[in-house]
Amino acid sequence: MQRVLVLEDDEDLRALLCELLVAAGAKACVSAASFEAMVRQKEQVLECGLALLDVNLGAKVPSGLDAYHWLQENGFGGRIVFLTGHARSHPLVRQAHELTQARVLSKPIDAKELMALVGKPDGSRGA
Amino acid sequence: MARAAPSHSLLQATDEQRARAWWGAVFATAMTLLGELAYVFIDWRVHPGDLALPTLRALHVLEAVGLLGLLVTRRGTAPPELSAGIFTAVTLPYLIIFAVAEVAMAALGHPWMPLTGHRLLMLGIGLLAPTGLRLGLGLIGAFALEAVLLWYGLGLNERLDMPWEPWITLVWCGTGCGLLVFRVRTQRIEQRLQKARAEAESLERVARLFLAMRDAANTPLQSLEVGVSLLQQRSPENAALLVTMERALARLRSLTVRMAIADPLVDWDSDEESIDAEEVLRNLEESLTRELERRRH
Repeated sequence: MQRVLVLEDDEDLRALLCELLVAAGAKACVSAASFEAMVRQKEQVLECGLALLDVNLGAKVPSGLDAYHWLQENGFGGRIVFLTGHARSHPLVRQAHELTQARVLSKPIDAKELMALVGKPDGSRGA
Repeated sequence: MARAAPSHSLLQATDEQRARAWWGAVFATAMTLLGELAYVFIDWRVHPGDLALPTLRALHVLEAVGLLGLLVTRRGTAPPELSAGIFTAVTLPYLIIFAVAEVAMAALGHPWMPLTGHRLLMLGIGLLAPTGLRLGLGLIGAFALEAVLLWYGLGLNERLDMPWEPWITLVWCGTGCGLLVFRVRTQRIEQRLQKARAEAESLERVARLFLAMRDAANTPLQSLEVGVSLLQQRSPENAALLVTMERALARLRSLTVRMAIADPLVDWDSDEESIDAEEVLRNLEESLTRELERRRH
């Protein structure tokens, strides 16, 4: 079973996602509300097999895309999945869709689909 | 049923029309004031002992002062009809003054260029008249008609060796009319463009509102989705209740999906990349409050 990283600025959703993914079989959940909080937990983060990143982490703060680049630069070997509540036309979401090694899921997504992410080995790009 | 409020674009067009008419009337009145003031002294020197023309000019100056004062006090509130009325009121006395001046100059026997005032005024009307064709063309027509009547009525065609008159004055009349038509047409095009732009802006504001509401709703919706799923696993005895909650969630989801129809209308700026739905909603609320305040006054 793998560890999962949940980077989400909404406290309720972050806690619920962690609970759901652990209930779905994840070994542990590393949660962070911001890019800085994620960087502070570098060791645990890089051990994760799945990173669930919210695209927009708030106004004028590093986004989920910055987190993606940080993970890539630091040799993160797991799968990266973006979660976004924004329109596909939003510049950040467009950029996320252009990344070949990440999947983009739009909120609200079916919980079953989220649970299926745990343990799924392929890093295929979603719609 | 509530009566529909006037659209923002229509309000803008009215403000624009009011401002244009006001400025045209102010300019015409101020030019009359200065021009007639100068002619009080010119006529005093040209017609010594004859007070009729300087008196008429002085009265016209007084009228212009009064009308200018009225325009200044009604700045920003004067309806286009008032500005048009003032423009007409300041222009019509020229018909009498020009007639008296032409008769006086013809009687004096000095060399002079007849109908100069008519020509200049017809151009001035073409340039400044409030942009309604009927009023402007009517005024220009009245001055052209008077010019022709004076030319033949005073026998100027026989006394002066000017074979180009009154035709050249009628050419000036045509030019004044042409200027007026061009101004009216340009203003109509501007109004149409302004209306189209206001509608596009209004639609984009609606699209932004939809988008901001959807963005703000998606995260709590996701929380509910995950929460319901966890409850289904932990409290299977409440399955029936959770099914109803799932149905409600599905309805909310479908609503947010429908709101996505406005997405293509939003023009994203590069500095909006970190969009904050709360900020967008706050800005929209402030804009709406300002608009409501504006409409109340």
